[in-house]
Formats: sequence, C-alpha cells, structure tokens
Amino acid sequence: MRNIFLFLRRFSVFFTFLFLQIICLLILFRFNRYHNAAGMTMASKLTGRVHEQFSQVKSYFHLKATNDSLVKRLAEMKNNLPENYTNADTSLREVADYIPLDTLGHTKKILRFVYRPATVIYKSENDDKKNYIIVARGKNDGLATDMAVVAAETNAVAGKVVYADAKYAVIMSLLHKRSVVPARLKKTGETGTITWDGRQPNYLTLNRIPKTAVFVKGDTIVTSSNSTVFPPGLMIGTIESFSEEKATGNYTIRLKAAVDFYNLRYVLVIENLQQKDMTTALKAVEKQIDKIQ
Amino acid sequence: MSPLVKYSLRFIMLLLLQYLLSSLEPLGRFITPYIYFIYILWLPFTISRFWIMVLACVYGLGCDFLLLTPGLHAAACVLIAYFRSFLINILIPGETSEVTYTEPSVKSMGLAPYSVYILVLTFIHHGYLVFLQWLDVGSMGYFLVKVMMTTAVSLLLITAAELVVTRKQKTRSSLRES
Repeated sequence: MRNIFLFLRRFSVFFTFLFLQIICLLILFRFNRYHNAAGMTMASKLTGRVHEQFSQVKSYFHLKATNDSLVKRLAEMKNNLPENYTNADTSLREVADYIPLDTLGHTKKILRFVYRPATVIYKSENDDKKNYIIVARGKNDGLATDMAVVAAETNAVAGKVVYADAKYAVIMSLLHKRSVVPARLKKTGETGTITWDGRQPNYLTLNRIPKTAVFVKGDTIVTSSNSTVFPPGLMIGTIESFSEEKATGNYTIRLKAAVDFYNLRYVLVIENLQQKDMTTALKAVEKQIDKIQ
Repeated sequence: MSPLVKYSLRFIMLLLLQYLLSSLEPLGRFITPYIYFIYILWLPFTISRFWIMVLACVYGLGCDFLLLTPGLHAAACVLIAYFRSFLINILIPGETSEVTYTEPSVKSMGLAPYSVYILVLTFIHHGYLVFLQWLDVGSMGYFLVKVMMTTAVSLLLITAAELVVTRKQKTRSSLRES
C-alpha cells in the first residue's frame, strides 16, 4: 500500500496530466456533436470487429460438426438421384390388379443403389502391393463386403469393401495389386479392366482396350456395367498416356485417378440392392451351361 | 501592477484577441491563426507543474467557451503545459535563469533556446489540436501541411506579439509592469 502511494506521489505530475487530459477529452466527446458521433462510430466499429473475430473463432470449433452434417446431407441427396432407380419391368407379369403407377402418378421406380457416408480413419497409399482404407462404419451401419466406395467430394471410385466388422469396414483401395475394376471409355464405350501396377499412387492402368478404339489424352474413364459391385458410369480417372501392346495388339492406357488418395477423408459406400439376385442368377446360369456341356 | 492582476489581464486580453482572430475568415480556407496559447508559454517559471496544468486546463476551457468547442483547446493546452517544464529543463541547464528571471523570454533564455521552445510547443499544440478536430490523420501529407502552415502563421503572430508587447522583466525581485 505504501509503495502504491509512493508510486503515485513520484508520478503525481504525470497522473495529474492524464487526469486533466481525460477530463478534457470526456468534455470533447460528450458535448461536441461531431466528436460524439465519431466516438460512437469508432466504438461500434471496435465492438463489431471483436464480435466478428469471436464468431470466426466459434465457427472454427463447429467445423467438424458442419462437415459431418454436410457429408450426411450429400449422401441423402445421392440417394435421391434418378440413376439409383430402375424402372419396374412388369410388362410380362400377369397380375390382374397391378397398377404400374405410384400414388403420385409417377411410373413406379425401384431403388437400386443406396449411399451411406463414412469417415476414413486409416488409409495407406504408399505400399507398393497392398493399400487399404478403414472407415468407422461397419455391419451395424449396413456396410457389408462387396460394396463400392467412392470419394464424397468427387464421387469417383476409391475401392470396394472387402471386410466388414461390427463397427469398422476395410476397403481395398484401387491401389492394390488384386484390385480389378471393370471400366469403359466414356466417349466410345470400349471396355477394359482397371488395375494398378504398384509403381505410383494416383496412377492406374487400363488394359485390354481394343486397337479400334479412338481416344485422346484427357478422355474420361468410367465404370462399366459388367459389375455387380460398381454402379455403371462412376468416374474413375482421365487418360494420361497410352501404349500399344505388341503381343495382343491392344492398348494399355495409363490414367490419372480422379480420387486423390493422399487426401481422402470422407467416402460414400454404395450398396447395390439387386446384387444378391444378380449373382445368384449368374451362378445359376453358369451351372446350367456346365450341365449342358 | 501586481503579478496577479497582470496575468489576469493577459488571460482576458489574449482570449478576446483569439476570439477576434477566429471570427475572421480562415486564411487560405483552412488555416486558423492561433495566438492564445502564448499565455501558457509566458507563465512564470515559479509556478509548480501541477498548477500550470490546472491553469492551462481552465484557460483552455475559457477559450472553448468563447469558440464553442468544449474540451478541444483545453486538451491541447494541458498537453503543452505538461511538455513545457520538460522543455525548459532541457533548454536551460541549471537554475540560473529561473532564479534571475520570472518567465520565459528571449532575454531570460537566449534567442536560440527560446525560439526552439516556442517552435516545439506551437507544433505540438497545433498537431494535437488538428488531430482532435479531425479525429483522423487522413492523408498524412495533408495533415502535416495543415499543421505546419498553422504553425508558421502562429509563429508570425507570436513574433509580432513579442515585438509589440514589451515584457520588461529583469529579476524576480524587481518585477515591473509590462
């Protein structure tokens, strides 16, 4: 306490100066119309800036929740896309009172593909043989093996589910020696298979494109329809370069994957609701053919 | 004439003179000549720093009362009253002049130190005054030009005042009328 008084006494002149200055400025800002207005403007600007900064910081804390809700909404939207539905092919069914229209008057549609969002919790892309992605969704959330996986942002193929636990699912990335994805050239429709040569992440190989195909660098490669896993027409990548195989006369195309495997954070897992029926049908056909031969 | 009467008369006369000057059309549209603050510069050495500041505040408020700008000139006056004693301490080492003479003048301080004393305080006064008037430095060039021009006009007026007003003061013991 004594020190405070000593301090005040030592700088008494300065404090008197400050005191008088403050009184003068108070009078100035209180009784002059211009200064009053200017002071109010300055104060409101200052508080406005503080509020702005504060809300920015606050929004930063909500980023994750916002992101999650956005991905969820994206999956919802994807589920409403027309290409997930097929027309009910009922023309040959002999049901007397069947109405091929739903209650709203539209042609009845059957849901084919269901999108489910998932967050990547583990991934590798640098291994030269096997790269896997693990997501924090599993059987409890409806995931199962043989479901297609696409990146949430670009809707481009990232891999397929090879194992599903109760809470986690393992995805075989496109960057895997045993990954095979049927693909076709978007423009002309020639089909081939996508594999990975293990040399460079983000670059894939498309084999067995016949020599008659016409394409240029930069053309788009999409999934073809001879798969029970991948919906047809999903983006895979763009042509980077190509070479001719001497032995077979086919083209081998090197393409850049549309998915950036280094920055994969959110994925959508696509379930084909008709997969089971399709595979059983195919198997039955195989059996029958075998019997005949 | 006793010092009290002398300083009181100076107080009133300078304020009235400033009132007159301010009511004139500003020179070159934006230069208002200022002379009133010379009162603070001419206050005697003997007054304590505390009382100089209080007096400057009252004087500035008086000026504001006439010019209808509450607090503006008072703030500038308090500022130069605060810097006044520092400048005097720097410009006159020792206490020789303060002992022999009553107030700052060419005679008591010498021409060069007195000129510096007037120049610096005038500049500070005008700078602070213009800043408070605008509450914004605006374009720095315009601000400086305004302050410097106002300072120059004020210095002219002060020189005239120095020539007109004969402040005959020899020593503290033998005060004479001005």
